[in-house]
Order: sequence, then structure tokens, then C-alpha cells
Amino acid sequence: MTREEETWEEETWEEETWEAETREDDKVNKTNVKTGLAILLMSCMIGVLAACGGNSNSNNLKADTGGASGGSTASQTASEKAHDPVEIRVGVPEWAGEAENVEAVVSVFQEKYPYVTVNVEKMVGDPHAKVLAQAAANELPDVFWLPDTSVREFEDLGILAPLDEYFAPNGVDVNDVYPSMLDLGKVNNETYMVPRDYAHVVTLVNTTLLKNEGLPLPSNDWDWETFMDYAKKLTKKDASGTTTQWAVNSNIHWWAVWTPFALGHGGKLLDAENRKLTIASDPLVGEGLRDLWDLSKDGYALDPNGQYPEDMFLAGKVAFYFAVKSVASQINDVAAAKGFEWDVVPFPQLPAVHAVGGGTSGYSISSKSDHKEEAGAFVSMFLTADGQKAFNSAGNSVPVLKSMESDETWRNSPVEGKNVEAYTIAPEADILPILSSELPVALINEANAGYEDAMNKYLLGKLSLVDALQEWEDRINKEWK
Amino acid sequence: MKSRKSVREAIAGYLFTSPVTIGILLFTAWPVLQSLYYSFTKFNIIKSPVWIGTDNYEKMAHDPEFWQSLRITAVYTGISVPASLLIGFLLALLLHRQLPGIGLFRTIFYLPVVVPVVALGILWKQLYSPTFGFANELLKMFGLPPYTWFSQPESVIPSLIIMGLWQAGGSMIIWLAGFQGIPAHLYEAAIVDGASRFRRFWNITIPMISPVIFFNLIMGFIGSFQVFGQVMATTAGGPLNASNFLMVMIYKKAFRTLDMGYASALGWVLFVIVLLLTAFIFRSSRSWVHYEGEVR
Repeated sequence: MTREEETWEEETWEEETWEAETREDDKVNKTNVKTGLAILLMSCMIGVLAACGGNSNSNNLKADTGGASGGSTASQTASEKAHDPVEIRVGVPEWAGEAENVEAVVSVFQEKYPYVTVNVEKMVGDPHAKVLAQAAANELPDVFWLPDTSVREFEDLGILAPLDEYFAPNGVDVNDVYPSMLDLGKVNNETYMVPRDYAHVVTLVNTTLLKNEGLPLPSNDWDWETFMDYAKKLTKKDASGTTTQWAVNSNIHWWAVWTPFALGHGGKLLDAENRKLTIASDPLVGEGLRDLWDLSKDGYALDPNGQYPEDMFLAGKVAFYFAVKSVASQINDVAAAKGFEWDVVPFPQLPAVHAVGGGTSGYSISSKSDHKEEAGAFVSMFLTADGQKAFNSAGNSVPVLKSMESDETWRNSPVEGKNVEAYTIAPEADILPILSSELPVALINEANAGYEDAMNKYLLGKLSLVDALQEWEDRINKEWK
Repeated sequence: MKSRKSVREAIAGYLFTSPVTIGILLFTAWPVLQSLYYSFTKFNIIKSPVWIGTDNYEKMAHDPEFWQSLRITAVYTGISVPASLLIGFLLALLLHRQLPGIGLFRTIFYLPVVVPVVALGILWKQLYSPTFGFANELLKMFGLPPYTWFSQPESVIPSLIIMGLWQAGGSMIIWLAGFQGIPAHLYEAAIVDGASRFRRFWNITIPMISPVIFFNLIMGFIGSFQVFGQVMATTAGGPLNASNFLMVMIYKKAFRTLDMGYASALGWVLFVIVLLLTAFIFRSSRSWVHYEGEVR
């Protein structure tokens, strides 16, 4: 017998002995393996079912509705038909107050549509990226929040469903909606987003700082010259020339502020017919933007690269703040805590053209929703008096309906006695986000990035105003064909 | 007989590891392969990808933003990795002593590593604030002029490097573990032979911890080429794209401009760069990394 054969026999014997000894153990092992396999199979099945779940509830519910869904334009409203229960999902941004405001709308909605369950979900993180990711995964809620500047982009991607057909059956009078706000949700004359409020840019005022300088609250028709007089008196600098109290937080990055300035001397941002930006070609645009940018350059406004440790208006170190009503209740709370008084005046009238930024955000329906009729009824609720009263119950917004202009529910919130006329004055001066509305969708991000670069290059002293604007214009015009 | 049992054991083994294996295949390997495919397409997440061959890679070759991002990332890596290794090493040398309360000091130096990246960003933005920041107050105390920190393109990268060094405690812990693994008898023998402190450090400490240098170097290079969170939480790539690192650029292309195909191509180029660098360090390690008991 060779050494290998001996070794093999030895191993075989050892193994047989071991097997005899561990037969019982083997049975247990087999059972364990079977159990393990069964558990794994079950886990996989659960996983697969969960992964495919997503909208499956909605799908089943749709089947139960007997074909009621799908954007019917029937004369009967959704609430009047006999329905099995339906569940819709509503995605809201995670910032404070939004979910609560939408929940208030849900309560009113469910009085009318008791068979519809509305699940409000917070869209955690960047809402723009979240919508895209959810749309790509076919997990987009039936109704979701979006800003005005995303409407064309999302419509172009096929994410949004048209909404007009749901308005009349759900009691919406579109003529009662501020046209500038309604237009923000339109693409090619079709509505894809309902505005949830009327966001007309105003000037929030720290009246304590004004009083310290013996200045009265500006009148509702104040102009740029008056604004600059106030700015010079309200800005404080230390011995080294560093600003320690600013006249204004100009919100310099926001289109609803910079676009009015760009138009304020009578300039034109673009020539849609010839497909050209005219930001540099029209010197009046530069004059307008210089007004805004020099506020920061000369220390009257917060520096966009200033890295302030907190919101300096809330800290009581800034006199004016170009913003909308959504921040009013926060300012009211902080002002009470820090001991300063506040009020509101309109956006100042610019030298040649009275232009005021009128941005908003709102709610849309997913083009893939299986419950468009119910979702349509829900978003329509934002354009009714009941829905607006509910949404505005926290006092953070201005109703989007003209008929509610004198409604006390929003005028007296968050606190009575403010110059609330400012929130609705001169709606005819409202301007749309021109670049987002008129440029090809593919160039919108590039154009906005162009503004940021031009502004920073000018403020950081890297380029002159003319060169910065020329670079911005060339960047877009070489692509816009 | 043996094979039957081995097969049974193997099956059981595979079954028990299958959740992880399946997870890696489905959620890592598959997306990685998908991104390779997308890098040859025009893809915006929502609509189906359209095959465009090597257009994304050709576009990259002529894209000044890419070259600027690559340069920024390389400069950051080239300075921050050695600096972080050196500071971690010096801290570990200081803390590799049996002193009362040494554990407390080690904890204090390690604490910045466990600070969440967003909190870290907020903290450093405040420290670097040109008007109110502690950093400029400190400079003023020493009679120095204020620095622009995150406010100017020229100063943003040095500021981010300093911010990164605050977390050198991460490598410090590994250095400390390395020091503690060096047998004391080597030092004792050297002392008996009359070796100076420097000779002991150069001829015992450095060779014995060369595997730790190797590990920290590799991890440092990989980490700094993928720097993202602290940039997004502080400068978001600005001012004027001066901190537009490759990972930041990839994120912006993917989720801001929806150019997922180009972002995938950028991701693959980043992967190849990191792979080549890692391979180079691995290859060079044969000549300078010494393992205890290794026979050459």
C-alpha cells in the first residue's frame, strides 16, 4: 500500500467514525440549513413584494374605484360619485410649518372627500433632487411641492400632469387668482402647478433701528432715492471700515430680487425673438444690477460671501430685508424675544420701471398618479377660499385669491397692526422669473449659474461690471440657437 | 464522504453569507456597472438613456471645469494628506506616553472625528466669519491682518485644509495602535547597544510602523480624492468654483443639471485616478513597508 493510499484509508476511517458520531448533529444541521433556506426565501419574497409595493396600494385602490380615476372631465365632481376608499400621497418640503399648513388643507379637503385618505410625507433633503429621484424610481407622491422655477423643467421631463381640467369641477374660479401667481405654474398656457400663496416681495423693517436714527417708517410709495437715503443713515461701520450694522439684507441670490433690479432702469434681459440674452448688450441692465450689487460692495447690504454666524436681520443688526410673508411669524417671534419692533413696507419703486418680484411655490400632480381625479381635487383646494384659509391659518402667507385681499384671517396674523397693505400693493408690477420662463429648459441652470458667477466676479473684484455681464451673456448666447 | 460533508458545509456557508452577497451584488456591483453604462449615454434620470459612445469622455477632455476640479482636488490631496499624516503622527508621539489622564487627552484629540460633517461645517463657517469669526480675532491678537478664509477664491483651499487637519485624530488613533504594537525588547536591545533616541526612532519606530504609514497613506488619498461633505456644508464649491472638487462637480452635474451620463463618466475617471494612485502606492510599498517576521 502506498503512502497516499494509507493516508486516504486513514482519512476515510476517521471521517466514517466522525460521521457516525455526528449523525445526530447532521440532522440538526440539515434542519438548520432548511430553516435558514426557508427564512432566506421568505426574506427575499418580502423584499420583492416590498420593492414592488410602492404604488401598489394605489393601484389596487384604483381598480376598486371602478375607473373613476384618470382625469375625467365629467360634470359630476369627485365628491359626488359613489367611491370606494382611495389613498393619495402628498409630498411636502420638510421646513417648519409647511406640513402643518398642508395638514390643515387636508382636514378641509376630507370634509368634502371623506373617502380619500391623504398621507402627507415630508420630502427630506433637497426637494428638487428628491422629486427627480422619486420620479426615476416611480415612487413620486400623487401630489408634491415644487418651486415656480422648477415647473418648466419638470414639465419638460414629463413628470407633471396638466391641472386645468380639475379646476371648474372643484369650484375654482381662476379669475380670482392673482394672474402673476397662476402664470408661474403655466407652461404653454397649461397649468401644471397651483400656487399655494401670493408671494409678492416686500421690505421687512426693523423699526427699532429706524427709530434709533429718528427715521419714520417709509411710505408705501417710497422709491429708490429714499431707500438710498435711509441706507446711508442706517449703515454703521467701525474704525476699520467694516460694517457692523447693515441697511439691508438684499437677498442678492434670489431671482425675485435681482430680476426687478435688472429691469429697474428700463433694461431688457433677453431678446426671445432673436434668441439672445441682452444682459451686457443692453447697458440699462448693468445699471440696474449695479444698484443691487453695489449695496453689498459698499457695505450697505450683507456680503453674499460674508459667512455670518446667524441671520443678521433676526439678530437685530439689519434694518431692511427683501423677503416675503413666509418669514413673518418667525420674525415676529424672534423680535419679541430680542426686544426689537418690526413692520413691513413695499419693495421700493426702482428708478425707471416699477418691478416687483412675485415668486411662489405650489403643488402639482404626478403624471404617473393613479388617482389624478382625487389628486386634482386636492390641489384645486389650494385655490378655494376654504383651502386658502386653512393653509394660511399659521399666518405665514398671503392668500392667492384676490377676493381674500381684505380677509382678516391673514391680515391679522401673525400679529395685528402691521402695514399689511404692502403684501398686496401694486400686483400689476409683479414680474415672472424671466430667465426660467423664456430660456430653453436646458439653459436655465446655466443662466442662473451665470448670474452667480457674474455677481461674485464683480463683488470679489475679479472682473468689471461690464466684463462680468459680457461673460454671462456670451456663456448663454453661444448655446442658445 | 468528505466531499458530501464539505458540500453541505459550503451550502450552509453560502446561505448564511447570501444576504450580504446578494446585497452587495444588487446594491453595489449592479449600480457600479450601470454607472459605467450610463457614462456612455446621455441620461437625465427620468427619460431613457441614449447611447452616445465616448462623447462624455471627449467632452471631459475639453471641459475647463473638469480640469479645474481635478487641479483643485490634486492640490488639496497633495497638501492635506501629508499634513494630516504628519500631525496625526506627532499627536500620537505626544500621546504615546504613560502619563496621568492620558486617556482624556486621547479622547479630546479624537473627538473632532466623531463630529457630524454638517455640524463641522457650521462650526468652521462661524470660526472663519470675516466679521465675527474667532479665527480673525485670533490673528488680531497677534497683530496680524484679517484673512479672507472662505470669502475669496485664493484662500478657500488653505482654509479647507486647515479645517481637515482638525480631524487628524482619526489617523492619530491608528498611529497610536501602531506604536503600541512595537515590541519593547527592540528598544531595550538598541539602548543596550548605545543607540541614540534618533537612531531608535529612525531604525526601529519608522520601519516597525511602516505598515501603518502605508495604511494611512492609502486611506488618506482615497478619502481626500472623495472630499465632499465638508465642502458642501461650508462653501458648496464656491466662491467662483474655487472649491469645486471632483466629487462636488459630480454631484452638481448629476443632481443640479441632471447630466447623469456626464456625472457617471466623471465618477469613473475619478475611480481610475484613485485606482492608479493606490496601485502605485501598493507597488512602491515593497521597497519601504516592512512587516515583522517578513523574510526578503
